[in-house]
Amino acid sequence: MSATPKTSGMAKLERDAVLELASKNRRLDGRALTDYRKIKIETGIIEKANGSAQVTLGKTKVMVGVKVQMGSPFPDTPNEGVQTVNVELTPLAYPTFETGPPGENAIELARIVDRNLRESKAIDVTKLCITPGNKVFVVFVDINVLDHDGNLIDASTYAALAALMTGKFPEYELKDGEVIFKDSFQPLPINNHPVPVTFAKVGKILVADPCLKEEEAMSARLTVGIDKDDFVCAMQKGGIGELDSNEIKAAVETAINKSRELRGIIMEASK
Amino acid sequence: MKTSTRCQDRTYLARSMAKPFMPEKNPGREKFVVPGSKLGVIEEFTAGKGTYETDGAIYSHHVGLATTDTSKKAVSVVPKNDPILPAEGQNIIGQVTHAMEKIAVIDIVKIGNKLSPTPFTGVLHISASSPRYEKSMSEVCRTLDIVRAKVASTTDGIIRLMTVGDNLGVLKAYCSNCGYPLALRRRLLKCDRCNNTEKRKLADDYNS
Amino acid sequence: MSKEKAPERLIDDSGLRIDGRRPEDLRPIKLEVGVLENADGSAFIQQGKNKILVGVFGPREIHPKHMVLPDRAVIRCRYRMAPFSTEERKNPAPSRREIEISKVIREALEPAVMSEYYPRTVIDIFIEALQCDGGTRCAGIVAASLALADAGISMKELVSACSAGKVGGQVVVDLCDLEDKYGEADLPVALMPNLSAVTLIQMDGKLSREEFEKALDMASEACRQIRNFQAEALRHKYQGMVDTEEPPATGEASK
Repeated sequence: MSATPKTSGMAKLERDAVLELASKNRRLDGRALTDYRKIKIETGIIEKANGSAQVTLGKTKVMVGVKVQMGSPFPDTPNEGVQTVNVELTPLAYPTFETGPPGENAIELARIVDRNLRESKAIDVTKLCITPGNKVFVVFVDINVLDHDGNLIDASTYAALAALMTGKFPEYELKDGEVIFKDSFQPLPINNHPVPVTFAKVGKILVADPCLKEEEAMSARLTVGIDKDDFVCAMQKGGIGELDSNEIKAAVETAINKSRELRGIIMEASK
Repeated sequence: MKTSTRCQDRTYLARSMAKPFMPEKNPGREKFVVPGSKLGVIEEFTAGKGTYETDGAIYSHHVGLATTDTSKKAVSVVPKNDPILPAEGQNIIGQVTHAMEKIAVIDIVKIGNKLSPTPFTGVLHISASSPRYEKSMSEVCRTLDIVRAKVASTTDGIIRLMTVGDNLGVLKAYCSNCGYPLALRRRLLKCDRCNNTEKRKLADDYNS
Repeated sequence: MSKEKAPERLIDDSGLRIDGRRPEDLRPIKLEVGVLENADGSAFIQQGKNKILVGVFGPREIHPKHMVLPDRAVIRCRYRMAPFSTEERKNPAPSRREIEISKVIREALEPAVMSEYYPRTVIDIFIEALQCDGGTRCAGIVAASLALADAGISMKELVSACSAGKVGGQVVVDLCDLEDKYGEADLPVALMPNLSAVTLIQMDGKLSREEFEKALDMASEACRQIRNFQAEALRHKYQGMVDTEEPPATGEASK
């Protein structure tokens, strides 16, 4: 059951400072309202994975490993490979992250990343079918949050995208209905590059790429996923506050502009 | 009202065209409102009970009847239904779940006349338990006793109870030795099973 | 295989949708307030083939105690699909989708509830989707906000909700199951209409900026329309209790 989360006394202590600055259109770390923190993307860091990436967004660190394995297709899409996204908020990333099965925050995060990739058709799943209705490739995107300083949604999706873009899966041939894997690999079929842009509503303003302190002071959160052709492909509001529709429309416009710049950074790192 | 959105269910559409509430044209008349119904603007009225003001407009907090006090220029809403919550001044009936030296913890099972299957917890401090000085809670009430108490305050959501008053206090007591119901024998409670005698702060209708 | 059930066209030559609606048409909605005996507040919604029952308990004492918030009520929400609510039986264990929807519905209702009036308590909202036909999270929100009002819980405004989206190249409102499955985009929106406050927005699919804005406006307009039905359903249960000047509405709402 989903319940109103507790806000720590520490969060309340910091909140006033964030809100005070927001009332003057300023931010804790001096960024402009739509500025992102410094992004660092490293790829190919886990040799045993089919694709991997680590994104450092300010102090937030997320690692993604992609594994491609043979599996069965869903009955309603017999000719398509399968994409699954999983998130682990590892206990070493933040004092209140706990071990155990994923909670609602991890599940929501995984589903937002999944939505961005799936709805923009980032992975061309039609190219991952081996024998229709029987054998397909399953692309496991496993997200490990390593250090939490806010905006896990964007960091996770960028890392997932970079891992997929640099990911490889085995070449194979079919002999008498048997799948024989070769020693060689081919790049994963990536068709689209969805880039989510997340905003936090702090006081009366929206700030992009919120850090943890801003997230603790925010009333609502809005993620807008933009694909490579400037189409909106995913969206998610979070938090116990509200937004107005003009605010949302303005956020979409900002997201479209911002996503181009961010996509450039991700593409550059995933060459 | 824009009607670009059409509903296939015509009966609903027709009824949804009901006139909005306009207090200035119906002075003193009660009007049915729901949460979020706009009651007026702050230039006309002040926001009374059951209402709130935001961005210069006044809205209802409740399902209820809105009334305007023309002399005070205030609009307020009387709710049609209120959640059953222990409120200051209300009588409750509860069971003592834990009696310590100075404090008893009581499960509130009946608020006013309404039974409450998921009880609230109230606390009774010894200083509010009796008009006289009581040395120990064991002479006021004990675990498992049924008591009638009055809600003294609910500040910060903590329900503080009192049993000062003739009709307040223990309604049913059980022997702390053997658990048998205690009978009243001349101001003392006696266990007919094990002959134990005990003391309580009794309500005037004990065991009736 | 369900591929065969995919409709050839979602919009026909005369611009009508697979169930004969125009793009801006809602499905028929029936709302009923106070349908359960034991819940403190309850409501039932039927929207197309959606049948959803909501029960609210509280404000009541919170268990486990460590969840208590000293300055406000905790709001807990569970959205659950009955195993028989879908074509294929749904495994009764909570799915990731249900867990996410429970969260976004809670976050859609929280802005409306005056939780600071009920410190140290909990308000439990149980949403049981008995039959699902697309747009269940929105229908669930519509019924849940009625159930909250029925429980007498103080609120800022009723929360109304409706999806918009794109099917067969057209921006439409209130997608049914097939449109949701085979359409191009789905945009559920929850709104407190009188305060113009969006409390839920999600999207999946593909929309241009212009299409998105149109869809958001259409969904908001649909929410306003649905709010009238919500107010009407509350009036139907409560107005007759005191104010007899206008006869209570009769008909569909009580069926």
